[in-house]
Amino acid sequence: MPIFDQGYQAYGGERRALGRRWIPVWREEAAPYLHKRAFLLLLVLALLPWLVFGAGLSFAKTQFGDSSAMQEFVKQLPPVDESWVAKLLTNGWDNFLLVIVSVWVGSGLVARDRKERTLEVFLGRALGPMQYLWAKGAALGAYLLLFTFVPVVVLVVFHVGLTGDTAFLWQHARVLWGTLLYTLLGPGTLVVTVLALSSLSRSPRIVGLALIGIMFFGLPASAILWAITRSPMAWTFSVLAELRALGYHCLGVAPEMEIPVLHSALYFLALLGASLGILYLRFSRREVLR
Amino acid sequence: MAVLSVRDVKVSYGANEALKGVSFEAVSGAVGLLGPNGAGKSTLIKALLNLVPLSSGAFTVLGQESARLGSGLRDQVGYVPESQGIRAGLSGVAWVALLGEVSGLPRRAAVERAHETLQYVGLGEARYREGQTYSTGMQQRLKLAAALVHDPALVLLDEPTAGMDPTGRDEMLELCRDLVKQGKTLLFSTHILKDVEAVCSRVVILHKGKVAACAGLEEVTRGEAQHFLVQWEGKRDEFVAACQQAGWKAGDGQNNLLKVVLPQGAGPRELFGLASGLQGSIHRFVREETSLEEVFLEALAKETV
Repeated sequence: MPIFDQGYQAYGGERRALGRRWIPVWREEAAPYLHKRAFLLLLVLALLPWLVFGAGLSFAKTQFGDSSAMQEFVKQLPPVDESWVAKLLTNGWDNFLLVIVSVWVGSGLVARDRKERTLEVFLGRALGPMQYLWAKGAALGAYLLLFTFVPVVVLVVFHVGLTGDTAFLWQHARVLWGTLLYTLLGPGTLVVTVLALSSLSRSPRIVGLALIGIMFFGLPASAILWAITRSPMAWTFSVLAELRALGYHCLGVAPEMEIPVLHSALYFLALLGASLGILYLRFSRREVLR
Repeated sequence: MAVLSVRDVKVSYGANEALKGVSFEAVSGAVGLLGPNGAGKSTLIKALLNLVPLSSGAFTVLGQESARLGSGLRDQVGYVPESQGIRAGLSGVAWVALLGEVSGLPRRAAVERAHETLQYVGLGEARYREGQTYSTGMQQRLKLAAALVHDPALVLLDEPTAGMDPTGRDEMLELCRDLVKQGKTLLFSTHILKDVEAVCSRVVILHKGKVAACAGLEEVTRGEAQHFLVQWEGKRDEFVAACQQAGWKAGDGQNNLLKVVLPQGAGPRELFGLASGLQGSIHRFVREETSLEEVFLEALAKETV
């Protein structure tokens, strides 16, 4: 009998399948942010342009449906099409918040586990590196979806529901699949890049600063370079500009920065490849645990 | 059947070879993994858990052959890391329950087990406090609870008493002894000899990445040679010289007694036979058990030579 008042209890119950072990890690990573007021405010701010537009449509249709003046006003609103969604999806405000959330949620994903040495506790259990990274990436990815795919879906539902224009779904199907493609290629790559950066340091603060540096200071550098050279290649230094151009290309709209579609695709594939390469080297050789 | 069998395991960090072909077996009970700092104890435990890549070698864990522990097999293993290993911002019970879930327990069962194991290790009162605010001793016990939450058969403890006060250390050792009674196999890595003596029935001494000694604790401490403390009433020098002439080691022991080391095959009969041929007599005669410390130092000395 131990010196304490309760003896050891054996466990004979069921066990969760190996493929589902990532779920608690994902939940633990993502859930705490939902209890932070500042973070919730950030989400609301990001969704605000979409909410205002959706609620505005609803309000106009239900309250002033018979008013000729209001109908005239509604007619003047920009049409819900690929061009408009591309502008809304990649506007500066949304991209700014996308970076803020990436830094807030993403900088500590792996770095915090390295700092607290909980990474070896997780990987010492029946949780492979792939599952671990998937759980961490999914935590950030879930929030980034709220800035990209989710608002577009909500907007389309609002639009079709209020106007009764079901033909919109196949006439402008690209609004949905283009946004999905953009989400996977753009913010999806961003998640992998953040994971790779986070695996390089034990300090979430350093990772955060590096991310902010890459995201925000690349834009003015590219703008200056573009002003001098007038070459679309100048935007290569700015992830935000490339993200914006990718959004336009995915929705079939010519981007303002005249970045060619091949350039955009190669840019994000190269970024994805480099990030995956870093993660592979760090985890397969277990360097991330040192 | 050996719960853990380690065969010719080699691990390198760049040009530095941390483990140079380590082999041993552990049957149920506690096995002490003893060695000075840098001997390769933590590396061996991490290699077992696939936390460092192996250069060569293999393990057999619970009868299953493995170059390293696969995911499924790791459900049967608990791990207490040496330093940190506790998530900031989480209460003790939340952290243990999370690790229970990662080890496959359904949510409700994981929370129940977390409460049970925290009670077991003596943290019942503190379980709702944030784990990182615990004292060093409490943190070690929290890590033990996390290692036990999924009811593993084999528990790997990396310096579990490091930084603990004497009371906390005794409590931790008591818990380890109780786990052995529960049928668990412990691989107890430490550089504190008394901890091994208190818990383990078998010891593996690692030095410079090699196994310097490996045997049951009794076997190791008894050794092949027999140690005696002798009170000699007569000329000490004459007695010591006679012993040395017979090929035995003799010298000053504790409490003004003479220490005589007889080789295998020789015993008290030979000792008294030698004494009868001298002027003097043996007044006191005590058989001395070799301490683990002596074995440890002897093993290290052999390796150094």
